[in-house]
This record gives sequence, C-alpha cells and structure tokens, in this order.
Amino acid sequence: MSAKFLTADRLVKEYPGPEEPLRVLAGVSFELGSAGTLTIVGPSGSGKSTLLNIVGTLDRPTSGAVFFEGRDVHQLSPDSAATFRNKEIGFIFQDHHLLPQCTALENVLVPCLASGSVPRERLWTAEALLGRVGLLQKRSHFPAELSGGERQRVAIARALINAPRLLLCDEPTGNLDAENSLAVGRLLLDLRDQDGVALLVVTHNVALAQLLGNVRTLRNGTLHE
Amino acid sequence: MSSLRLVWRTLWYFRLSNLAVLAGIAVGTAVLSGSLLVGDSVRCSLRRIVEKRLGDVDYVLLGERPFTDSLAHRLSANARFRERFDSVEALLTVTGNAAGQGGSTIATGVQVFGRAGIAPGSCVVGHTLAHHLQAGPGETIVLRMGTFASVLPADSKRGEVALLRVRISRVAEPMSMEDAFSIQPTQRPVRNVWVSLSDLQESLDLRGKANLLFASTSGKARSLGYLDDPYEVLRPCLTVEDYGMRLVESPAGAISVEFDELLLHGAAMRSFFEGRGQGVFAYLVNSIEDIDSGREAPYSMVAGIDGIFYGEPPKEIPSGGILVNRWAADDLVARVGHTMRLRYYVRGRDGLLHEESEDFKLAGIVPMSDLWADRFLVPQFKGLTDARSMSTWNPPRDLQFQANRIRPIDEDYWKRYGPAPKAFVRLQDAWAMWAPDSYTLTAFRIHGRSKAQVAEDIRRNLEPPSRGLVWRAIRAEQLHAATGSTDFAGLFVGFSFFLIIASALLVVLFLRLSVEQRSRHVAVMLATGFTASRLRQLFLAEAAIPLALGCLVGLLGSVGYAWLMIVGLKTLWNEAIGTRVLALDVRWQSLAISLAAALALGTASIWLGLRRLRSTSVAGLLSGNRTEPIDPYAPAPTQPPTIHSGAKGPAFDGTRARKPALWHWAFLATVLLLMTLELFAESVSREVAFFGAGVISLIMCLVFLHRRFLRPVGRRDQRRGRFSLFALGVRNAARNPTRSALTLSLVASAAFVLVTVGSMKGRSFTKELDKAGATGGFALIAEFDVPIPYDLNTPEGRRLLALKGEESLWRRVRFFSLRRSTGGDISCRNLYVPTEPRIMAIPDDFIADSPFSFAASLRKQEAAWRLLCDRSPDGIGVIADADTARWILHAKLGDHIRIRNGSGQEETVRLAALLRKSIFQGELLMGERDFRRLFPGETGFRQVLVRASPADATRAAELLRQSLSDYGVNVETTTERLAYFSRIEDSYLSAFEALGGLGMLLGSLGLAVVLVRGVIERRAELALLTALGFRKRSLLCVVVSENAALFLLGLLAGTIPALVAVMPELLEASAWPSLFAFALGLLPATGVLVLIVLVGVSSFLLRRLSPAALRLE
Repeated sequence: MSAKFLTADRLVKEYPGPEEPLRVLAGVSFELGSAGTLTIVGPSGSGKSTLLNIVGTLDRPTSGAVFFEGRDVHQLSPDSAATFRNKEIGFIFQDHHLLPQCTALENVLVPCLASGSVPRERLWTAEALLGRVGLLQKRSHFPAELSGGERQRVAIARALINAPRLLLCDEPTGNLDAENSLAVGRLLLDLRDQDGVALLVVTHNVALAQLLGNVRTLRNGTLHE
Repeated sequence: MSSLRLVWRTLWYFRLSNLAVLAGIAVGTAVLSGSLLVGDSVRCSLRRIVEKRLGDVDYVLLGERPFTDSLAHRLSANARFRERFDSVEALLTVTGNAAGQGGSTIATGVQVFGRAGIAPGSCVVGHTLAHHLQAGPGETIVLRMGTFASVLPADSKRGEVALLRVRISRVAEPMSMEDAFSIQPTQRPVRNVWVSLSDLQESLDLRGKANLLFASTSGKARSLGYLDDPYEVLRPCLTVEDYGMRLVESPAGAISVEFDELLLHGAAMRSFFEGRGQGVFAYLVNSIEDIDSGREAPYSMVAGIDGIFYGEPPKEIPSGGILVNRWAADDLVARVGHTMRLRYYVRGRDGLLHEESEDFKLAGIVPMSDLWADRFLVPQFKGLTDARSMSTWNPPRDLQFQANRIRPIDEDYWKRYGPAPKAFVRLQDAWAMWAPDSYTLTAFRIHGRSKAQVAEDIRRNLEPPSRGLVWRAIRAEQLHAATGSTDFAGLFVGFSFFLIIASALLVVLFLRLSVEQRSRHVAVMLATGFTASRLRQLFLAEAAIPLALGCLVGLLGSVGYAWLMIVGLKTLWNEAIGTRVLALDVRWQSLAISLAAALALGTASIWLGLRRLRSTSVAGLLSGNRTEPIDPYAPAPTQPPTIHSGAKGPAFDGTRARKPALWHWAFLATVLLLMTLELFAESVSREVAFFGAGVISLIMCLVFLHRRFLRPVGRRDQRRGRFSLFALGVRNAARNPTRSALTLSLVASAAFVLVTVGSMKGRSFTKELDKAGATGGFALIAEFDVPIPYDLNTPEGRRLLALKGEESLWRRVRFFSLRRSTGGDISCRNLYVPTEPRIMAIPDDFIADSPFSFAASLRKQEAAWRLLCDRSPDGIGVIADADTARWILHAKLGDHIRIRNGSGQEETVRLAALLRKSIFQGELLMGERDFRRLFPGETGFRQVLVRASPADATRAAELLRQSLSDYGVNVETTTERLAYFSRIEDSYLSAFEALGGLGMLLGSLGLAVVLVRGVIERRAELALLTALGFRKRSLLCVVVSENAALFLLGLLAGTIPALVAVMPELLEASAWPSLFAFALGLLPATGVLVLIVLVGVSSFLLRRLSPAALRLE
C-alpha cells in the first residue's frame, strides 16, 4: 500500500449563508493508500457528498487541497480534470443515472465515448464486467427493463470500464434493499482486494460501513474516528 | 457502441422533443423561404404581365405630335431596319372615354388605338373595358377623345373633343395584348379599344398620320441585345413631315420651316436652327393704332423677327421700336417717331383671351416688296390664311371676331398680300408680349438654300427626340420596371419577422427543456470524464439532425406557405396589388439563400438553447438542483464549480456585482430622446421615431418584468404579500426564469405587433378635411381624360364649357385647375418601378393658398411651396408625397429623380419637399412655369381640385359629372381618394396582422408546452399536494395561474409599448375606433381562448396524477 496515493489536506468548504457563511467542511484531512478503503459516515447534511465531490474534482474547496499521487487535482485544467476523472476515478452514485436510451452494455461503455470512440476490446471488457456483476444475460436490456438493484449493478460496471484506481461511492446502496446492499458491498470489497482499487465510500448504511471497514465519522465538518 | 449510435439512440428516445425542435425549425424555414418565394413570384408575375401585355412589341416610336403613317412602310423597306426587326406597324393613339349603348355606362381613362386591319366602323374592345361597359359583339359604343394640342381651342371640327361611333366586332381575351397593352408599366387592368386607323384619322382630322409605331425584333436580334443607337436606323427614313414640319418656299427667296403645332415652344430646336436661319414669331393683333394720328387698322399680322431683317433694305430694329410697311403707314398716316399701339389677345392661365396692348416707337417704314410683303412669314392656319377674304375667316370660336370692323381697304390688302405682316418688331419684343415664359416661334426662315437642301439637312442632322420622336425599348424598360418598386420578399420577411423569431424562440425553448430533462444524464457524463465541449459536440450532433431535417421540411413547406400568401394576395389582400394575375414561382436561388439563412438561424437557436451546458454545475445536477442560477443579479455564492471548456466561468469570490438599474434608466432616456427628436427634428419621421420608442419600450418592459417578477422568492419577498394559491402559482413562474422569459417574450412580441398593426388600420379621415390635413381642405377631385381648356372659376370659362348650375353655387365654390403630364402613376397602386413619373403643375394661386403640411422640406414649412418657384442650379425642385418618396421612389430629400419631358427626353429634377400624407400620392408636383417649359403640349387642365362646403360639394360633383362627361370627367371626394390609398395600406397591414396572429398562436403553443412540461416536472410535488388534501380545483388554480400570469404579463408588456409606438395615431384620435375594437374584441377573445386551452390542458394532466407519483421510479 502506498501511503500517498490519495491525500486530503485541511479541506474547508463554505457556502454563503443568510448572516454568515455556512461551513460544511472545517478542515478535513485524510490519507488513502492504493487498494485502501475509507468509509465515511455521518448524519444527513454533514457534508459527506460535498467531500466526495471535492475529491472527485466535481467541486472546489474553499481552501485546502487534494493530492492524487502527489498532484494537486484542483490545479488541473478543466480538460485535464475530465481526463483524470475518466481514467483514474470511477463514480458510483445513489441514483444510477443510467441513460434510458442505451442498453445495459452500452451504458457500461458510455465513459469510453468521452475520448470519441470505443475500442473493440472495450466491448469485451464491458461484457466481462456485466458478467462480473451478474448481468451478462441482460446486456441488451434497457434500464426501464431492469430492477433497481440491477440498474445499480450496471452503474457499478460503468464505473469500472476504464479500470480506475479509485472508486468514489456516494451512498451506493441508498436505494437498495438489504440483500442487494450486501451484494454491492461484497462486490466493492472484491474490487479492492482483487483489482487493487482504492475505495472512498460515503454511506449512512451501518452494515455496509462495517463490512468495508476503516470507518470515519464526519461531524461538525471534521473527520473523527 | 459509438458516438453515432449514442446520438441516434438519444435522438430516437427523445423523439418527441426532437420533433418539436424540428417543427420549430421547419416553421421558421418555411416562413423565411416562403417570403422569398413570394417576392420571386410577384416579380415573375409582373414580368409575365409585361410579356402578355406587349405581345410581340419590343420597341415603340412615340411621337409628341403626329408623323406620317407611311413611315412604317419606309422603315420596313430599309435594309438595315430589316436586319434587326421583323415587323413595324403605324398606329394612332389618343386618350378618351367610352360610353355603352344608351350612354348609361361611361368608362373613363380609355386608350384608343387606331390600327390598320380593323374594318372601318368596327372595333375590338379589351376584355376589361367590355366588362365595365357590359357590352359585347354587335353593340355600338361611342368614343370621345381629346384632339391634339393646339395653340387655340379650335372650332367644332378641330374641337377639344372628337366623337367616334363604332360597333364591337370582337372582345379581346383577358390579358391578351389587345386587352392589356400599355405604354406605362402597370399591373392594374387597363381599358383599351382598337379601331380602324382611317376612322380615327378622320375623326381627329389627322389623315395620313400616326403617333405610335410598334416594332418587333427577330429572335436572333433579340439575342443580340438592344440597339445602342436606334436613331441610326430610324433617321434615314424620316421626312420633314414626320418631324411635324413643312417647308414653304417664299417668293422672297427664303425657305420657311413651319410647324404642325403652329407654335414651336421650347429651346429644343433652338440649337439646330441657330446659325441656319432666323426665327419668326407671327401674331394676329386686334389692331395697330397710330396714337399720334389717331388712326387704326383692325386684325393685322405683326411679325417678330430675330436679328437683322434680310429684306431690302436690310434693317435692324432698335429695342422698343417697330417697322410698318408702306401700306400700313399710308393707312395709319404714320410717320417715323410716332407712337404705335398694338392691341392683341393673349390667352391667360384661365384659358380665356385677355386683351393687352403695347406701345412702340415707329423706327421706319419699309416698302411693299421682298420680305416686307411676304405672306409666307405667317404660317398656314386653316380657316384663316386660306380664306379668300377676311370676312370669310373662320377663327377659333372664343376669339370674339367682329367682322363688322373689317374695312374695304383691309379686304384690298388681303386680296393683294394675304396675311403678310403689316408691322415688324424684334423677336425679343414679340416674346415679351405674346410668350413671356418660353422660347416660341411660328417659323424658321432659311436663306440661300433650296427646299431640297433644307430637307436633306433636316433629315441628316436633326435629332428626332428634339421633335418629340422618341424611340423606346419598351420591352426592356418594362421588364426592368418589373423588378418592382416594392420588395415583396423583404416585405413578407418583415411581415413574418415575429413569426420567424417566435419559431426560433420555440426552438430555444424546446432545446432548453430537453437539456433540463436530461440534466442528470449530463451530470453523469461529465462525472465520467466527458468534457463540456465533448458533451456539446454530442448534443450538437444530435440537434444537427432535426436542424437539417427541419430545414428540408421547411423548404418543402415554404412552397405551401408561399402559395398561401399568393392566395391571400389574390383574395383578401388583393387591394394591395390590384391584379389577380399572380402565380407561384419557385426559384432555386431563393431556396438556397433561405436554406443558408435558416441553417444560420437554426444553429444560432441551438447554440442559445445549449448554452447552459457551458456553465453547468455538476454537483447541482447530481443533487437534482435546477440548472438555473439562483438569482442572476445577486452576488454569486461560492457555488459548485462549473465545468468549463476552457472559457472563464463566473468568479468564485462573490465579487460578481449586481447589475445596476442604471441601464433601465438608459433605456427610458433613449425612449424620451426619440420622442423629443420627433418633436423638434424634421428629418426623423414621426412615425418611425415613435415606433422605435415603442420597440425600445417593449425590450425595457420585458427586462423589467424578468427582473421584477421572474426572480425567485428571497427572504425579503417572503415577508411581503399574501401567500395564496394564486400567489403560489405566480411564484412558480419564477422557478424557471429563462423558460418563463422566453414565453413572455413570445406573447409580448405578438401582442405588440397585433396592437400596433390593429391601430393603424381603418383610420377615418374626418380630421383631414382642414387645410393642413391630407385633403388640403379640398372636398373634390375631378379628373379629365380630355383636358379642359378653361378655368372653371371664371363665368366665361364655365359658359364656354357649358357647365350647368346656379351662379350662386359657383360663387361659393373655388376651383384649382392643374395641368398634368401623361406619365405613370407613382402611388402604391403601381407595383412597377416608375420609369416616367406623372408630373402635376402647381400654379401660383395654389402656392399662395399653401394647403397640406410637410413632413420634410429644404425650407421652413411655411415657405415650402415657394421651393417650386426657385431657380436653383441643382435643378428643378419638385414636391412628392412622403410615403411615395420613401416606398416607391426610394428617394429622400435632396435626391435627384429622372423624369421624361413632353418630348420624351429624360430630365432630372430634385426632391425639394415631402408632403405629409396627401392626395398627391401618384405624381410629382412641379411649379407651373417649369411644367409649361417641359411640357408645352399640355395646354389644358387634367385635374381640378374643388374647395366647397360638404353640401355644395355634393351638388357640384353632380353638376360636373352631368356637364363635362364629354371630357371624360371622373369626380370623387378627397376622402374617397384617401380611403382608397388607405385600403391599399390596410391590405398590407392585414397581411402583417394575419402573420402576427400566427406568431401569437406560436406563443400560445409555447405557453402550452411550458405548462405541460411544468406539470410533468412537478408531478411529484403536485401529487404531494394531492396527498395533503388539495382538491383538483386548487391544483388547477396553481397551474393555471402560473401560466395565465405569464400570458397576461406578456399581453401587458406588448400592449403598453405598442400604445407608445402608435402615439401619433392616438393623438390624432384616428386610431381610437380600431383600438377600441381590438381592446373589446380581439384581445379578450384571445385571452379567453388561451385561458380555455390552459384550463383544458391542465385539467387533463392533473386528472392523471396520483399519490403514487410521489415515487420517482
């Protein structure tokens, strides 16, 4: 495990409030090694999603920095940031956000289109990923023809198509039942253990947090053990 | 999986939305392209009319005065002529009126053509004329025609009006050459009748004469282009008679060149004859009196001669001096140094003869030989010079010839010397007495050459146009004129402007809705590494397909749109163009231009619609927040970063300043400035200034409403106002400000167009009856096919014209008699480019009266009419109606305009003043002195304006029609004339209104789409309200009030600026009737209709809601 794979250094995030700024993150710092796991729990509105968005370059901190293998990701140009997200990070959201007009297989391949074309070998990779999440037989199905859990699994496969080294998961089991939640949790562990993917997971699912381990609580804008 | 596949899939999945975009683009393209096609169609139709109208005629020779009809034979025998021309034909043409059998129906403005090949006593009648007279083959019609210009109103044989009774042998087909031929290009029906050439010649006492030649070129020659110098071919075939001249050999050894019109006016011939001979002006005086001896000789000829008298002995007369011959000297017992008084008639402006006198000093007595006894100094005048004695003279009927004054000694003189002048003055003195306004002669005397030599000299060297023989490439002229004075393509693009903008706005609206609908998908794609530019490429690729298809569908639809507009022009709006000979013409060039324009417009709309992608908050999208900034005018919070494509985004430090309200005041100041300009600056048209202010007000209103009502509720707002269902609905409109603003703009623009156009239509002219108004204070306009020779203001003039009615009536009525040339109508009635504008002569009494008011002038308004009296080095000043100058002549103050003078030669005049909306929309106004110089042949009055009280005007009109029908009189009230022009304008406005109405329809459609969209987006919210116990009625109130508020605000935002735009009409109270009709009719009707649609659609959607919709999946 590399100690400086992902480092957050005193991240602060404020929003303007009616009388004074609303401070959501008040100096969050952590380190995550490659193939490591960090599970963040906390009450609603504690800033978990905000933290995840900042790490994933979807948001900017008011102050502080995020280093990925020593590079400050917020110093990247917009195009470089997009490439970074495309190549290094996989996002898994609470809502699957599958494209309704594409089949399961095509949804998995969507990130490949960011560079303009889909190499043939990616097709096989996408099929393999669908197989891994147990949905190969439904590769030609549209999202409207899949259950909630199946859609989320397709979303997970999509997040993995470019073999990211970091998975950012924002309430990945938020819309799932207990059985599906457990399945997703095991899958995430699998990815960490077998593929060496680092996991940064935000959840309020206690069972998932316990399963993934290395749990921190985000409270009052800071991380606590 | 490929980008193309993704695009295709997305396109298909969101096909309804894309279909809406396609439809919007198709509508915009169809309207734009269709407008260009309308322009093409009108132009092509005008060309088609020219082709039908002219038949085979390519050139015409027009004679200001008649030439020999054998000229056609001479031309066709000429080899050079045959190289270029297939055929040539001589005709005689004159204007008159026609009466059907029984005389109950009279058609004025009839063009009579005499041509060979028509049996004597018969005629071919044009379809339009036959229809008007309700006459057919076998029936007899009576033609009354004007004779040719003569210096004196002649006797009944050479009278002002000639009669011809003919039987209709055939009615020409509609739009055949016989039905529609016209020298002046016009699309309106003309009234033609074709009679036997010999009949017409006999009737007009012009045997062997013609004044029109038709010439047709061969196909090969036509392809060679038009002749550079047609006179090169014409000149060798012309004779002295063709020039309207005759050569008379005098025993005194001189050749006299005399003129058919008796008096040669104007300096056109001066340059030819000067150096070749002497000008002579012979005149019949009432008496020559020796004041010192007290003796007088009645009815004697006096000659004014240029330069030195080449008689024996040669004499030069001093200025103010006179020579008398021996006979006269003996008769008058005159001695050198005596004062000699000449009494003579001059014809006044009123057409009547007034006696005047002039005194001279007797400078010498000349012998009765050579020049001094030469009867050929006086030109031949039928009834006078050919009389055997003075007592058998047949002078013009108004001469008041007193035969009892003739003495035996006078008859002796006549027997021996005929009309030989008894006295001689300088030519300059003759002009001063008898023709002070122009260069005038009765003959030219050439010494030392034979008749043959003079004839050859004339044939070789005289320019035909100087004698009014003008060779015109009539086909080329009229085809050029068919490009049209009004750009119908531009006009219909203008009419359809709001429709085009509305469709573009709808495209923007639909695209934005589409982007918003897919906001989360957009966020995911951004999150997975798509750059904003890549995303935009995909969206653009997707939008390109409905764009391309929409343009193609639009092009196809444009043919239908253009066809519909053509149908409209032929039916509802036919007053505007005055012809139904209109057909659709599709030109690929216009389709190509409109395709390019539509692609550009569509691309711009797509770019605007997708602009949100440029600064999209990913985090906000993912969390389900809207894509709109919270308050564009508030300091920006430190909001989630935007995903840029390299462009700068909003600052993150909260320093984005609030937009100042200053710019609202800047707009207001601009509006006030424009209105002030209208008051104080004459160069800015009043209507344009107010309309501009109206448009700016519209923009300002929309900005104000957007700022005031479409910003989301803040904490301050929450403390104000009641929280009600209606208020909730209205607040919802602010949740998507841009979407609401687009809808508002659509409705406001349509309302603006409808109110402005509606208030301009159907104005009454009751306010125009005063002298400064559009009628100039005149009650009637009387127009004559045959010019009347006398002023109707004088009892003598009325008596000579046999005008019936009580003297007490005529004493209360005032007539203003105006001369007018026979040019083309330059009003909005004529769609063709004016090649030969009609000119109206404005006399001094009219100028002194100073009626009408001016929109602009090179002088102060009070002195504007006096511009017609100025002698400016810039050219002759003319006045035109302001609308005619702008829309038909495309000229502004100070511009030069080309006209043709009476001889058909081109002249330029300068636009010196512009009348504010007047009855003179069809002609240019010129001072009478200049007019008489340019049009010496126009001796009578073709138009008379009548100032009278309403009661007297009615009676006067009736009497004029009864008494002057022989002159082809047409009498109408000035308000009727204005109403006619107004109907033409109203037709255009109706078209504008119809298209504005379509724009309103599109706006309402946009509103409906926004409503449907809003309900679908907020279905969970509405379902929640249902679950909380809200009845359907309450939900309806929320949904309907949001959209009704937008509609009403839009109406308000459009109507108030529209009232600013039409302020001039409101102030003149002419717009109130139509405005009230609009306010009480169309506006509430539209509002009710829209409300019904909103309620209906909302009810339908809300019925399908259930609490189960609370679940998003």
